[in-house]
Amino acid sequence: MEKYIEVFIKAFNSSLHWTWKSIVFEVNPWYTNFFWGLIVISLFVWGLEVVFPWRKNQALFRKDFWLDGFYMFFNFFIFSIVISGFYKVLGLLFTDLGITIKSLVLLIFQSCQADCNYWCFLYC
Amino acid sequence: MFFVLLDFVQWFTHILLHKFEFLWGFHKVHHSVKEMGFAAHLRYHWMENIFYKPLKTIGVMLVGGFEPQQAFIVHFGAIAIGHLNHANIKITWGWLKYIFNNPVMHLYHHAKILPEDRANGVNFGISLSVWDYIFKTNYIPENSGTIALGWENDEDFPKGFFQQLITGFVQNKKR
Repeated sequence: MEKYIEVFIKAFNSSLHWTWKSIVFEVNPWYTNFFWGLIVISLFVWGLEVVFPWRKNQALFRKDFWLDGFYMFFNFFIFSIVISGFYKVLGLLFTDLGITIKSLVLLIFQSCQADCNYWCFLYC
Repeated sequence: MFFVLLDFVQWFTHILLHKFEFLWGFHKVHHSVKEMGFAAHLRYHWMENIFYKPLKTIGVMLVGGFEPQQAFIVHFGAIAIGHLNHANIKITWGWLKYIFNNPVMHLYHHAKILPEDRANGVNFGISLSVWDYIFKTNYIPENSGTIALGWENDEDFPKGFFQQLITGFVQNKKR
């Protein structure tokens, strides 16, 4: 159990750390900076909307502009920090489960070979 | 290659989000947008991240079990195309519209009134439109850009962030 908690906290911290590093421009190489990359793309597309609007009567700060702006950062950063720990724990759980099943099968198989039990083989 | 495969997997997931009532309950958040603009791209329920994950993981496994080094280009490209698809700009990319998704096509994905025989939705494309043309889920009757968005009887859908955070779990009204 302790192992899982440890993995969870570690993954959580590393995503938090990565996001923070992106914000303060400490990502190498610089063009893989996801945080500022998202902002630059957003400003660029918004700029296009301002200069070449399709629906001319739509406000620059359209309905729910700020709600959606918040969603951008929530879904890409806040949520991914929270979920990263869960994914890592899940991954570890599957690996452990796989190993447990494998060793269990091996154990049964070995004991079968040991006493040559017909029924045992049948159930393997 | 990675980009095309991942896009197909997401297109398929997107269809599932529309097809199953349970999944649609979450995907409604994204369809509650009433006026389109670039940021509408990322208004979606946090559960969607989880729904997209399994098929995405399978996609990654198919290309060798890890994301290529240049994956960031794919991610940035997908964000840029996704932003444009939701933006208040009329771009259709000329004949490339049969390959790439665009704002005109995607606006109809958000249309409130759907054709009767396609009540589950149209134009499911994410970055690429080609899947919709191959599987005949494409639908662009006109391009004025002034159609109503949402779904029928969407008036009582929660409008605030925190209510939308738990929607899909607590309320499941018909589409």
